[in-house]
Amino acid sequence: MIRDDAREDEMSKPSPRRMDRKTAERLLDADPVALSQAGPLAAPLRAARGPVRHDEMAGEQLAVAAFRAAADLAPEPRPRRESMLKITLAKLLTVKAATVVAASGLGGVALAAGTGALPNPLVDPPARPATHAPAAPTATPSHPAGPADRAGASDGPSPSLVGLCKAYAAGAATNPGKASENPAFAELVEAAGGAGQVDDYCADAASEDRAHPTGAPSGAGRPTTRPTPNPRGGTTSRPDTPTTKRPGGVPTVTAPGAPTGSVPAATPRTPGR
Amino acid sequence: MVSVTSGTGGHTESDLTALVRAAQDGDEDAFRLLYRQVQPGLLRYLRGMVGADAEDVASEAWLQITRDLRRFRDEGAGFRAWAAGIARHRALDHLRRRGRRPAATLSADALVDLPAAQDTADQAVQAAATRAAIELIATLPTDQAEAILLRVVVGLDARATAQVLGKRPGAVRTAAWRGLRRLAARLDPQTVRDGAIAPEPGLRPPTPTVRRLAAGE
Repeated sequence: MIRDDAREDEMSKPSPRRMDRKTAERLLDADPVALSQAGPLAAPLRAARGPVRHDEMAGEQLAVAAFRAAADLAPEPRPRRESMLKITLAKLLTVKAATVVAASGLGGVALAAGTGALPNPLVDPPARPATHAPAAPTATPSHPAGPADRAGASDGPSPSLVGLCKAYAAGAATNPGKASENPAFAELVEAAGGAGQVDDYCADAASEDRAHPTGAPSGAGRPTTRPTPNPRGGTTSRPDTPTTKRPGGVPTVTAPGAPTGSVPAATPRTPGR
Repeated sequence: MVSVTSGTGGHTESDLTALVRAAQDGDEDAFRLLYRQVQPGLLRYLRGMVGADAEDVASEAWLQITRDLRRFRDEGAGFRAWAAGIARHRALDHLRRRGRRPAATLSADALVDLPAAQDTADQAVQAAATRAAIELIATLPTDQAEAILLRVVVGLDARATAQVLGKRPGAVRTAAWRGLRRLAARLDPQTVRDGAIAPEPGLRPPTPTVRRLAAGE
């Protein structure tokens, strides 16, 4: 090491042992040009940033369960921001609807989550609780708004897709072109029918999401512990309400290789190689 | 800063901010997305720290993250750094219980040809290459391995890495730089062929696997 330090300023020969600090910084930042000149060191550095694997997400359900538990134990919800209020309420309604479905023995988000069946956009087909929806309308005939809610939960842009849209928009604003390559958005891109369609898809989703009520109780922070107030309105305004099929835009197959496989390519392909 | 897309750490901190706020407000979907953004990098970092116990330690870390999420206030380094700090403490606790950091050895997974793995669409090969790369970095002395992993797989900058490690940014840069040079020297076909690398403290002599990787066979 000491010998190397002494030769540090000899940069004429591209020997890895004389790598200067600036080059090291660029490699750590995954600078493609630096990587292209890094020789054998490039391979492990690229591989270390390689595509996300399914098994790396194996703890998701556990983490979400912990998140729920922590939310239930939390003494006071933090003051909500206006922008979050709307989207959160929209979700609460969906969750409540799903809870009704689950309680009536028809499955739904709660059960699906419990069995690890919630979709992982990286690897799973984005199966919605919609698969349980067809039987829903008969479950609570005395509650006309119920079936619509359930159908709405499955047919409109799902809450997770609406959330994805928000995250996607944020990502696209700061780094145009990058968000579409992120595996976390694979579900969204596929639902939209391609990276180029995401903006339109999200615009539609947002307009439908805006149709959600904003007048529901603002203190509704505990979806699972409250009854189902204001069951109508939240989702009845969604266009495809009566049908129980998945919208055509939501694919039934997500090839795990497609989104993740494209990711590493962005890093190694460098000009001049 | 070059815009980089990668398997981990590819999401900028500003993208995470909205998710963090929503999750703090109890939004489960936002939390899920947050997990998917942060977990792969954390797990790879932990794999370099505690080896095969990384999943368990990651679970412990997420337990604490969910518990403390509402108290998280970004003090400049962002959520990733905060989460990495929690993961690191869990890893250090784990190592205290278990003894010391496990000797990093290149497993059978490392028998993959790393250079070829870049150009394949085969997920199994890519996954094995990722694992081998983490194991390779993990053979470095702990301070160097940590500095590199936090930068490369968690996606932190030098300042955030320094905050996680409780050091000055300059010290962290130096550790990462030394680690990279050490790796480069190990992988350099010339030095590998000549066996010219003097054994250094904390650095095992190149294994046949490393020779094979470096030779690009």
